[in-house]
Amino acid sequence: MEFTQLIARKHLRWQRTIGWMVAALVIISGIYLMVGELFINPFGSLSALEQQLITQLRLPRLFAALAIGASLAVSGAVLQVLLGNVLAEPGVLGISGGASVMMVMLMFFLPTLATPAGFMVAAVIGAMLFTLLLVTLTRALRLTTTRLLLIGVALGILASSVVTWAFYFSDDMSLRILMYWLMGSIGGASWYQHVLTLFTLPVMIWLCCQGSLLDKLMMGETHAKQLGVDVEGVRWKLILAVSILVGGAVALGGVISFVGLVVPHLLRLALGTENRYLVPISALAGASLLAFSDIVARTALDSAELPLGVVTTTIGAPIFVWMLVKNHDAR
Amino acid sequence: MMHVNSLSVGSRLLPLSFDAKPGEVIHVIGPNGSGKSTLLSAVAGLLDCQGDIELDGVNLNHVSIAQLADYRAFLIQSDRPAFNLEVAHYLALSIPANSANSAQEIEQVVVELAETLAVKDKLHRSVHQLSGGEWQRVRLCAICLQVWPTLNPYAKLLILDEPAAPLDIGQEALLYQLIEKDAAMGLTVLMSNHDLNRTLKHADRAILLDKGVMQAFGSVEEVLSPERLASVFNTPVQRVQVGNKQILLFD
Repeated sequence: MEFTQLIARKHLRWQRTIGWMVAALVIISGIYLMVGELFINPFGSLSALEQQLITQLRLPRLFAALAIGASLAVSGAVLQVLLGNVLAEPGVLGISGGASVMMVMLMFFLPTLATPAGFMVAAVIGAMLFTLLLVTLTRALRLTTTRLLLIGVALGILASSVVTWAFYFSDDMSLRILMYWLMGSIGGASWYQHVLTLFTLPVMIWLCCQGSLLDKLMMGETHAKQLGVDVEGVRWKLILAVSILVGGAVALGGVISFVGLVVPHLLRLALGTENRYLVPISALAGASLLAFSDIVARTALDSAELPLGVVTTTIGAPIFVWMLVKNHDAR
Repeated sequence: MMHVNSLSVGSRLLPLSFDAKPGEVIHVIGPNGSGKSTLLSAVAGLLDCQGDIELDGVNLNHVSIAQLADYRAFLIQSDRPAFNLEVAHYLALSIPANSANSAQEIEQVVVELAETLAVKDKLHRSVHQLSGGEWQRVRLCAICLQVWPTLNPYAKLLILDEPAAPLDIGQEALLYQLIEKDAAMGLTVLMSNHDLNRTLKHADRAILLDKGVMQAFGSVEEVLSPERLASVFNTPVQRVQVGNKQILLFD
C-alpha cells in the first residue's frame, strides 16, 4: 500500500498543520485583544471603558487585520498558480498599486461615490485591470520570472507615480487618506468598513475549495486541459476572484506588501504544494501574520503607531531577497 | 472504432482521414515540422480544427472538455512544472474522476504501472529531483493511469507525442512494453515517433506526414518503403534483413 500510504501520510501532515495554525491564530487574536496602550486582563471583570475599547476599537481592527492577511495570502497563492510563477504576489506585481490608483482617481474625479462600497468597486476594477495586463503579457510573451517581476515593479512605479501626482494636488484631508493607503494601515478600521469583508469572505471560501482544480492548473495549462479543465473559463474566474480579494484588502487597509508572497511560498517550501490544503492554510497563516504584525505596529513605539505596511515590508523584504538569492523558481 | 474524417488545421494540417480499431497501435511519422504534433493535438481536442473525429459512435466535436478527459489521454511534449510536488501527488491528479474503485484497486494499478516503468522507488521524490528520463516515465505513468481500462470504463484512446524522446534504449523498451499492454486491454494508441525502426517493429499501421499533408496511411510494410521514406526525408534509406528482422538503414 505504498502509494495510498504516501498520500495518506501527506494528508495527515497537512491536517495537523491546519490544527496548529488554528491554535496560533486563536492565541495571537487573544493577545491582540489584550495588549495595547491599555493592557486588558481577560480574567478580571471588564470596566465600561475596557468593553468599549474591545468592541469598538480592537475587535473591528483585529477583524480587518485577519481579513486583509487572509485575502492577501490566498490571492498570492492563487496568483502564483495562475502565472505559473512561485514569486508572484499582488503587492510586488503592482496589482495592489493598481487598486490604489483607481481609488485615488475615484476620490479626485468622482468624490460623491467615495463610500466604502465605491472604493471597493474602484479597487477591484483597478486590481483586475492590472491582473489582466500581467496575465496577458505573461501568456503572450512567455515571460520568465525575472521579466515578470520587472514588469510588475514597473507597474508598481507607474501606480505610485499616479499617487504622487495626487499628493501634489491634494488638500490636507485627502493627503492624510492617501498616506494611509500608501503605507498600509488599519488604524481607522471600524465596523462600518466590514461591509467589504462580507464581500471578500465568500470569494475566499470559494477559492479555498478550488484545490484540486488549482493542482491540475499548476501542472501546466495544456496538461490541465488534457485532464478536463476548462482552462480559459477557469482563468477568468480566478482573475476575478483574485481581483476582488486584492481590491477588498486595499480598500480596507491600503497597500500591504509581501504577505501574499512570503506566506504561501514558505508553506510550499515546508510542506509541499497541495493546493487543497495550501490555500486554506495560507489564509490562516496570512491572518495570523498580519495580526502579529499589527501587534508590533501598535506596541513598538510608545504612544505612537507604526503603519502596518511598514512592518510587513520590514519582515517580508529580507525574506524576499533571500528567496531571490536562493532562486527557488524552477524556470 | 475511431474514425477521423477530413480533419484539418488551417494550413498547418491539410484535410486527412483515417480510422483505427480498438487495440491497434498507430504511429505518426514524418520530418520535423511536418504536422505530427498538430495532428495529435487536434485529435485530442486541444486545438481548433475542421472535420469530424468519431470515437465509438460519439462525435468528439460535441463533447465537453471534462468528458474528453474520460475518453482519451494525451501526453504532450512538455517541460517541467514551475512548482515542486511529490511524484505520488502528481500521479494522484491523473486518477480518473469517475472511478468508483477502492483505494486498493487504485493502489494496485499505480504499483503495476510504476513497476512496468521502473519508477516505483521514485514515488516519494519531488518532481524537480528527477532526471529527464525519470520525469518522462512518471508522466507516462500518469497518462496511462488516466485511461487505464479497469479504473476508467470510458477510456478508448491513448495519444502520445514523442513519448520516447528523453528515454534511453532500455527505458524505451519499457515504454513499448507498456504500450503493448495498453493496446492489449483494448485501447487505441496513436503516437508520434522519430525512431523509424521502432515503428517498423511495434506499430500496426502508420501515418506518414510531410509538410502537413498525409503522404501515406496503411500497414507499416507499405508506408515504410525505402523509396517513400527517401523522398520524404530527403536522405538515402535502405531496408535490410538481419536474421528474421527488417531493419532500416540511413545514411
